[in-house]
Parts: sequence; C-alpha cells; structure tokens
Amino acid sequence: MYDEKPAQQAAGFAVAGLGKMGIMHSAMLGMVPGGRVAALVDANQKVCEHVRSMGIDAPTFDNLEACIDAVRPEGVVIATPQFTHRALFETCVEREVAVFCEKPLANTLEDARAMARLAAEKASKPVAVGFMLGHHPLFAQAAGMIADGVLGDVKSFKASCRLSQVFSPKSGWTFTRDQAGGGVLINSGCHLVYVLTMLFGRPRAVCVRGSGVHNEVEDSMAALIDYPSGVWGMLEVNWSVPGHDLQTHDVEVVGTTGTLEVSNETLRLWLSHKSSKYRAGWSLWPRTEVDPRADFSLSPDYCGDEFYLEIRDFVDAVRHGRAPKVGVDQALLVQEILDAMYRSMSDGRPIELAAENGTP
Amino acid sequence: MSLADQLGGTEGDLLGVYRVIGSGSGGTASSSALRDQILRLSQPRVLRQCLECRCAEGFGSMLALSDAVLFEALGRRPAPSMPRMVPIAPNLRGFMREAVEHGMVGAGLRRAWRVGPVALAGMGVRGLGRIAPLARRDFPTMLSAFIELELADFKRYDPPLVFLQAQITDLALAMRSPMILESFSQAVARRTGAAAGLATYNFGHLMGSLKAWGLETAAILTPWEPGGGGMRPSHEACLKAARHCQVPIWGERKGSLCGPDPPLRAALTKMGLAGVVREEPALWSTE
Repeated sequence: MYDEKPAQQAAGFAVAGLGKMGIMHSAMLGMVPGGRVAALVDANQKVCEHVRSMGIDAPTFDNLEACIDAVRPEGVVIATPQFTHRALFETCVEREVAVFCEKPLANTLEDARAMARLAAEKASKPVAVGFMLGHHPLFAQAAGMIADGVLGDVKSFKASCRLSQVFSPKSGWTFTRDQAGGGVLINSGCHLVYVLTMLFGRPRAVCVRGSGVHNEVEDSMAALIDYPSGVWGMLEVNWSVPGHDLQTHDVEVVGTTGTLEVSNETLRLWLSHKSSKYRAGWSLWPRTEVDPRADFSLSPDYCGDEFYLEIRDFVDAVRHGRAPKVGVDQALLVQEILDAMYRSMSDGRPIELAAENGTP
Repeated sequence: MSLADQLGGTEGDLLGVYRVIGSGSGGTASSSALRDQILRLSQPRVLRQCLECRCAEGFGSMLALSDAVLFEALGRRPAPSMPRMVPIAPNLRGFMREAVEHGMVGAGLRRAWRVGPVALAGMGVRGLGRIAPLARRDFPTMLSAFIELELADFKRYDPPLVFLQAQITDLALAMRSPMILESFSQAVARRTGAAAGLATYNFGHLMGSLKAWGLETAAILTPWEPGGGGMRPSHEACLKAARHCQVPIWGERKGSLCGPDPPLRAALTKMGLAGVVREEPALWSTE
C-alpha cells in the first residue's frame, strides 16, 4: 500500500509536542521493536532540554519543518494540542513523512475533513491516529460478539467515561472552546465515542445536553444516540466526579439473549442460553489474560498495553508500508459525531448525522 | 538479619497501604464496596486503628505513598504498635492531583510547606550545588530534589527501605537512563539511612538493564502472578530473571481477594519471592 523502508536505513521517529503524551510516546518508541527517537520538537526549547535530560540522545528543534529537513525522520508523532494538529499534519503529508497524530484529529470538523482529504489525496506514507482503545482487545472482542449476534438482537446500551480532574475553574487551552473544540467530550470522551463506533458503527442522530460545572466548556454531558439499526443508547461523560483518578470507560450492552459489560480492565458476558461458543450465565475476560499484551508498560493501571501497542503498530506500519490499525477515516467519523453532539448541545435539539455518502 | 527478614513479618508479606491511601480519592477502587472502605480509611483515626490491627496480626511493614492522612494517622513518632514504613517515592499521582488543582508551582509549595522550614533549610544548604541544573529543569536533579522533599516527611519513621515509584523506574528503562536510578539512590542515601529498592512493572527488562549498566538495587517490587498476568516482558523471562536476582523480590497481586494459600505460597517461594504485597479488601477493616 505504501513504500516499504528497509530497517537498516531506519532514520527513527520525531516526536512533536513534549507534554505528558509526547513523553509517553517517546518512551514507547524506545521500547517497541524498530523504534527510536531521532528528534524532539517543541516550540519551547527548555521543554526539549528537559526531555533530553530524561535520557533521550536526540537533536532538538523548535519547528517541525526544520526537523524534517535536517533529520528526515521515518515518521512523526504529533502530540501537541489539537488546534495545532492540522498544520503539523499537513507538513508531514506534504513532505512525504509518515504521521501518527494524537486524538482527537483536530479541534474542528472543518480541519479534520481537510486533513482526511489531504491524506486520501496525497499521503504516500502511513497515517495513524492515537485512539488507543482501537488497540484494546476487550473492546474488539465485544465488537466481535455484537457483530456475530452473540447477544441476539442488540437493543440498547449505556456508556460512561469518568475522570476526577476538574473541580474548580481552569485555565489553559484544554478549557477553551476555540482551541480545544469543547470540554470533557472532545478531550476525554472522544475515546469512548471511538469505542461506540467500533461497537455500533455510524449513528443516525444524537440528542445531547451538557454544562460547564466550573468552566465555559462542558465539564459534564449526556447524549441519547440512535442508530439506523434501531439500537439506541446513553452516553455520559464527566471529569468533575470524585473517585476516578484514572479515566474509566464502561459500556453495558443489552440484547435479546444476553448482556455484555466491557471496560478498560474486564469484559463480562452474560447469556440466557448456551451459544455455540459461550456458556450460559457469566463469562469473564480480564485484560491481563487476553492477547495482545505489551512487552513493556509504563501505566498498567491505565491502558499501558494500548499505549505500547499503538506505537508498535505505527512503527510496524511504517516499516512494512501497510495501513495502520486506526487511521484517518475512523478518526474523521469520531469528529463528525463530536461535531453533531456539540451542535445538539448548543442548539438544544436532536441532530441527524449525514449518511456516509454525505446525504442527510 | 536480611532485609527480607527485617521487613516481611511472619509470612514475608508487606501491607499494601499505597493501594488505598495516597494514590487518590478511591481512584483505583473498582467496586463501590472497596470505595466505601477507602473513604472510611481517609479518617486518620480509623486508618490508625486498622494499621494497629494488622500489625498485631503480624504485618511488620507497610508500603506507603506520601500522604497527609497517613502521616496524621501515624503520629509524630514511630510506634511499636504500627507496621514499619516502606515508602514508595515519589507519589506521582498525588502530586499530579494537587498540580491539577493548584498548578505545578502551587503543588510544589504545598509539599514544601508540609515538610517544614527546618528540613527545608537543610535541603537548601545541601542543594546549593544543584541550583543550576534545577534552573534548566534537569530531570534527574529535579527527581532527586522531589524525592528528598518527600523523604523529609518519612524520615522520622526511620524507614529501612525506600522504593522508587514504578513509572519512574520504567521511564529510566525506556529512556535508557541509568542516571535516573543513580539519582534516586543518592537522594535516599542523602536523606535517610534506608536501602534503595526499585518498583517496576517491567521486571524482566529491569534486570537486564541493571546488569548492562552495572547497577545494583536492594530490593524489587513488581507484579507477580502464578499465571504470569502483568509480568513483563513475559512470565518465562521474569522467572528466569528471578533465578538470577540476588535481592528480595516482593510480588504485587493486583485485585487479589485473599492472601496466598499454602500451595500458592510454596510456589511463589520456589519462584524466588520474599513475599507478596497484601491488599485484599478484608485487610482494611478495623477488626
């Protein structure tokens, strides 16, 4: 699909944006087979030096263009705030460098569409997006069960994403509509929206309420989501509740012959009758017992395997010239859903999503 | 007396207090019942009562993160009725929680305020040579200063062993930075008379790197399950590394509902473990 690059010519990867996620991805690049940090990019050179002092022996740059010209990295990991993604993404694609862009794809649907268009028309190298739950085997297994009819006819679901992070007014780009694109939904809840696309596909319509508990952007939101198949469900996202120091993702799906509950840590299936593959009653799959597992983890309490697996997948995709597991198309669908949800929140009415061919 | 004999109590196990106090507001509690227990333990009087009960049952030592509630429960001086303290430093999650509310500088100032002016002045004198690297945000220097700040709280309890928090150990592995581990050992030596151990989620990788870097550690704290869950890079690699490990290893069994039964205990001992970290819900009662 893409040009394959032999390992012996490997130039390594640049990491742009050296906040928490940039450091995480740098660490993972140091551990995945074939990975190596070849350059560090951040507008603030003091931050670059800080990360270098952690042990990364790589040159630093204050802009991505200079980095690509000097180092010619095999790929770039974009871990900057989402309002900067489009420009950096375009730089990579235009210069024929593979790119891994952190989630969400952008802060606006317009930017996300432009990025997807550019990728479709011009990307000669793999383009990946950092929805790490796309690499989580329990959510994939749950999607497989639903698709295979293990639950019978799926009727409804309840999904929640919770985090204990915002208990007072906050400053910074994360809490501005212009730069982040919204609040808890786009910053944190987008992971769960991605999971819902894995489980149920493209929604037909959304009806959303949200409010800022402490901030201008929404700190708390809930959505009623309808699907063309007749499935409907509730989504709740909140970062102003205690008891969730680590972000949780919980989904409960109800069907005519059973129920499943899936989270970061476990998948539980309950069936009223024995099926061809599963017994009647409860079955349980803890994440620690399901492959793929990561050879290395920095945060096993919160998706440590998936942070490793997504970078391993990106590096492998670059090396073998194949498409990554989570690409721009899936990320664009998430952005379309987020956009519809924000319009519903703002207008106070249900919003229908355009069908895949663009018709309402 | 070996470190394992000093710390492990009757069966070699350590009490995993860090799982319920210090890591957050019930953040790792997966059930509402456990969360209720954690909320009760956030009262210093109840926590003290609980720890005294466990000490009476034979738990000689507890793994703990820096936390105001814990220090209030322990009182100003070590008491023979309480398990010995084995700190895990730094308390990253606790610091990040405070940083979200008060900013990085505010969180740092709160830590400094808790340590008190005398200890802070002592650290300042010792740290004069570190002003330049601190100003340029040199990570190993910042880490050692932060750890010293936390250990100032623990010093009065005379901890025999301090573990480096697993994410920092593993960051050092990923970044191939022995300097980070050396900075930790030096900070522990400067601030306490304790031995310096390493917590890790990646035991097999760690042992290989320590050997390559020519570094030693006094003890290891790492996930350990008979079936290999959470052991990295693999069950087999960890068993092999344990066979060559000369220092005590304590195994974490996340989410376990009871202590090891005799056959499991025998199997763990055969694998080379000094003991396990006990954190099952029944231990957090006040009876």
